[in-house]
Amino acid sequence: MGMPGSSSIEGSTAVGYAPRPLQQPLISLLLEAQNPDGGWGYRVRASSAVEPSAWAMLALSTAFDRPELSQALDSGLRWLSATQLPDGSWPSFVGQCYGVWTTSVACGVCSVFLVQSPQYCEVSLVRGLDWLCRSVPGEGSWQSRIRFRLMPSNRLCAPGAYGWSWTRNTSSWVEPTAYALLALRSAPPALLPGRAQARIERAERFLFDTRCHRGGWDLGDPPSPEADRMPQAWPTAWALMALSHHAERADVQEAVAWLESQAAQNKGLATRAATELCLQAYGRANGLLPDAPLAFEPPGFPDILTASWTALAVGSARQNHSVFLEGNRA
Amino acid sequence: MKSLDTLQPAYLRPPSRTAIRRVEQYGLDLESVIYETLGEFEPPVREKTVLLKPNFVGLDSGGATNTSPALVAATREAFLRLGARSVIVAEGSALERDSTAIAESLHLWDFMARSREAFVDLNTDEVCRVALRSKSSSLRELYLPRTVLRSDFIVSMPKLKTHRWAGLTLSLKNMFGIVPGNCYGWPKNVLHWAGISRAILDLNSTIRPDFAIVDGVVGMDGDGPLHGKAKPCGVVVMGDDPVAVDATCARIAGFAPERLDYLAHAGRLLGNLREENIRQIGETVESVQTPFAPPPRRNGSQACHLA
Repeated sequence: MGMPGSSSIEGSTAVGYAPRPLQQPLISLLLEAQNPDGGWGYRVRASSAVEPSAWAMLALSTAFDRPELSQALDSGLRWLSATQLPDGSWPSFVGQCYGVWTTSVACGVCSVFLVQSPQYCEVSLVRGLDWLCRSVPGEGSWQSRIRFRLMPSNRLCAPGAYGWSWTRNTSSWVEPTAYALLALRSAPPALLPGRAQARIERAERFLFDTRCHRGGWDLGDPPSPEADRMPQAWPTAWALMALSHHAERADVQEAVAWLESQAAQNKGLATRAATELCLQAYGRANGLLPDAPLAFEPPGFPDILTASWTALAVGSARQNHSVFLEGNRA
Repeated sequence: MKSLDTLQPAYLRPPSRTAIRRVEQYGLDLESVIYETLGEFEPPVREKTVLLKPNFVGLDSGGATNTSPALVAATREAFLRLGARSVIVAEGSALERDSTAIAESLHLWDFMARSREAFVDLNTDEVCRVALRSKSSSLRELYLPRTVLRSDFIVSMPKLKTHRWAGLTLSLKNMFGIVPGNCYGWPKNVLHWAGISRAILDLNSTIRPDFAIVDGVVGMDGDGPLHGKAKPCGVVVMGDDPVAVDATCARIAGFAPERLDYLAHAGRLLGNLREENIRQIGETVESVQTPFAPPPRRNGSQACHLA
C-alpha cells in the first residue's frame, strides 16, 4: 500500500512528500465543517452528503497530530455506515432511496479505515463491493447488448466492455468507472466478491476504448465521433489514477504526457488538485498547487470537496491512508 | 416550490410579448438595454429572490459556448435596480465538475467583483425530491436544488446555439442545468435516457422559467452546442413566455419552431409558439434574421431548418 507518488509504479521517480503549509488550514477547515451528525455537506453548514463526507475523511486521514482527529473520524465513519442502504449501496445524500456512484468513494473510505475501525467498515465494505459488482450500466443490460449487435452504433467500446454509470439505468462514464475501479482495487482481495475480476477487466477495457486519440479522456460521451472528442483534465486525471497499475502501457503514458502538458493551463483549484494527485501517482508531481495558505474567498470557498482534494494533494504521501487512490498493492 | 398555472392549452392562453434588442457587442451598455427592456414587462421582483440561470456548460476558450458573463452581470444589476432583494447566479454545468474552473475561464469574478458569493453551483446544492407535473418522459420525479425551489423568480439565460440532438438549445433546454450533478452525474445522462425532448417538457412543466433572456449577440451554429462555430447575430431576445422567446429565436436563426420536437410540444402546454400569438417589441424577426447553419444530422437528431 502507498500514497500517490510512492515509488511502487515501475519507472516512476519518487518525490518528496513533506506536508506543505497549505494543508493545515485545510484540515482545520474540514474539522470545523463537520456537521453534528458526523457527516459533511458540500459546503460549510450544508446537510451531510456521502461524497463530501467520504472525501473529507480521506483528507483527514492524511493529517497528523491533531487530537480531535480521532473523534471526528469515528463519528464520520459512524455516519457513513448508517447511511448505507439495505442493498449495500450508498445514496448521494440522506433521503435518496437508491444507490449511486458515491458507493465507490464510500467503499474507498471503508478500505482505508478497515484496520482502525472494523466495526464500521468491514461489513459495510463487503456489502458495498458486492453492490458495485452487481451494478450494471444501461448499455450492459442484455437488451442493450442485443441491440448493439443488431443495429449500427457509434459506440467506441468493444462489445461487452462497460464501466459504471453515475446513476441507475444510464450509461457508463469515465469518472464513475474510475471511482469504482479505485474502490475495487483498494479493497483487500479477500473481501472482493467472486465476480470482481471479470468486472474490473470489462471496466478497464471501457476506459482504454474510450480514451481520446488526442491524449486523455473526455467524460466518455459514447455517441460522439472521434473528431469531436477533446480530452479534459478532470476525467483524464481520474482515469489515470484508476489505471496506475498499467503505467507501462504506451496509451497510458501518452495520456500522462497529455495531462502534464496541460497542467499549467488548468483552471480551478479542484482540477489542479486532481491533476496533482494523478501526476503524483505517476511520480511526476509538479507543484501545481500553491505553497502558501490560500485566501479563502469568495465566502464558502473552498467547498468541502475542493478542500479535501487539495488537502490530499498537498498532504504527506508517505502514509498509507490514500490506498483508495492507488490501490491495494499488498 | 413555484406554482405553475401555465399548463393550459394554447386556445386558453393570452398572446405573449417578446422583445428583440439589437446588441452588436458585449462592450456596450448592456445594463441599460436590459433594464429598459425589463421595464416593458414589469416583472414582479420587488423584494424577491431572483435566480439567473445562465448556460455555463464548460470551459470556453472561444467565447461561443457559454452565456456571456457580461450579459449575466448586466442582468443582475438590472434586476437589483428593479428592487429585487437578491439576485443569484446559479448553474450546474453538464460537462465540467469544477465550477470554479468555469468561473475562472469566463473571468466571472471580474464581472461580479462586488458579489462573488452570488454564484451558486447547483451541482452541489442541497436537493429536494420533486414530482414532475407532466409525464411526457419516464422520469416521474427528480431531485432538484433547493436554491432553485426557494427562488421567487427564475430567469433562463441561454446562449443561442444549435444542438446536435435537439436542433436548437434555448431557454427551455437550458433548464437541464438545474438538474444536480451530485445526484445524476456529469453529464446529466438520466435526461438523455429519458429522451431529451420529453425531459425538457417535464422539467419545464415543473420548474418553468418566469422570464427568458437569450444571448444571441454571438451565438453558435453548425455542430453545436460544443463544436460549432461562433455566429455573430447581434441580438438579445427577452420575454416572460419562454416558449415564445425560444420560438422567436428559432425564427431569427432560420429554424421552424414547429419542427423542433420539444418546442412543438411546449407550444401545446407551456407557452405560445405560433407567430400570430407573439407580439414583438423592438426589432422585428425579419430585420435581425441571421440564418444559422443547422447541426449535422445524426441518428435520432432532427431535421428542423426552414429550408
